[in-house]
Amino acid sequence: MSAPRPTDRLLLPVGHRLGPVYDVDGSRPVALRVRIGSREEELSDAEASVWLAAHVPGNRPGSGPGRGAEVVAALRARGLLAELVPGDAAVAVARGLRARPLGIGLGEGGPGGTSEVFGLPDRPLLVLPGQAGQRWQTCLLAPDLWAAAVGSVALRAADDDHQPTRAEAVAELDLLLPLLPEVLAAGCGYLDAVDRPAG
Amino acid sequence: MSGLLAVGWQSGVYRDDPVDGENSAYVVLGERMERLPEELYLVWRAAHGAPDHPATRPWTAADVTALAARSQVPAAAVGPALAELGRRGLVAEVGTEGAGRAAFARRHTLVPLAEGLGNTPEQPTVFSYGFAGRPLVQLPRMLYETVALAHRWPDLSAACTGLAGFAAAAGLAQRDATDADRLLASLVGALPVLCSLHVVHLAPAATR
Repeated sequence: MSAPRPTDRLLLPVGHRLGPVYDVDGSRPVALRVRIGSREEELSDAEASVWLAAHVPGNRPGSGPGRGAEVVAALRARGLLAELVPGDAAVAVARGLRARPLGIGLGEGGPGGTSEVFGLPDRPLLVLPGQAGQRWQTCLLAPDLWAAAVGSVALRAADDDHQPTRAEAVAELDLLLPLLPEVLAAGCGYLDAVDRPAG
Repeated sequence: MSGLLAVGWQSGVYRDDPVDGENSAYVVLGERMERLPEELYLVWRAAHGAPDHPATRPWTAADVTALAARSQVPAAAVGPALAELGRRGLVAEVGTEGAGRAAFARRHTLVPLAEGLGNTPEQPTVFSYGFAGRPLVQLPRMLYETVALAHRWPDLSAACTGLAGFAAAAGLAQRDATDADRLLASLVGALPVLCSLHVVHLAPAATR
């Protein structure tokens, strides 16, 4: 399966997986719970199947025959799937999403120690080469994906005072977004809605 | 009585850091990144607790010293390292009762780092967290919910109050679920296990 190119449109799952709920009588009233921002969503079997399938790079749930397209539309309406079209159109969606880690950063690894490794101390799950690893780290520090793209341009600039232009940040976003399917598939992070906490 | 635990998320560990050629680690603490030289990092790592630590006993400086010794950190270096980590907010004093526990809870929140795997029909009262579909730790329902949802509130004190309120409104009978202080006590008891397995990390209050 080839990695998505910057020109591919992406359909990505949003939210922190919280598993199924079984009652003490063995029934399963909720196939899958997902926390997204400050709210919690309960997914049916069909919805859970599509949401989980969206974690597999290259999958386009809902693109075939059957009820998939309906389910995808419903999940998109609830913010549980996000479609990101490369270029300027992705900016508005990227402003509403942030990256969150699962596991920890293990540091340098891979051939020549030039990659960034993520996972658990005894269980590395993801190796991202050089700039890809730095881009994911930038995502984790930023309040949203658009801010991550802007920050990433600023970090790479030779001049400390460089103010990234919108075109530069859009180009950076086009490089950053294709990393997400691999990170999500490895279970080393998830996308969350930008939201304010309760309380 | 009190213990201590590491605060922050491990971003990476690097040999021959270009900054000064030394081995070092980077830790995300709220909105900022902290750089830890190797020995300080080893002490911070040892302040995460242990997977088999009993909930009835806090993770103490003596536990940190014993664990850090496995990484060849001399016992005499642990005290000064913990003092520096404490000054920088990278280690928290964790009171296990009363005012000490409440103060810790007001100053910190937790961030989940594992996937919630839910429960099973065979064990409907037991909920698991894990990575890549593999269970790592099992918790009762109320602690499972607290790990999942605590960071919706600015700190652990507000989170336990909010979650206990939800449990009471839902008609749950267990006082461990509906009494905010008892819920906080259960959580604090479980933290050395949860932090050591990277199911959660502690963060300063109001970390988003």
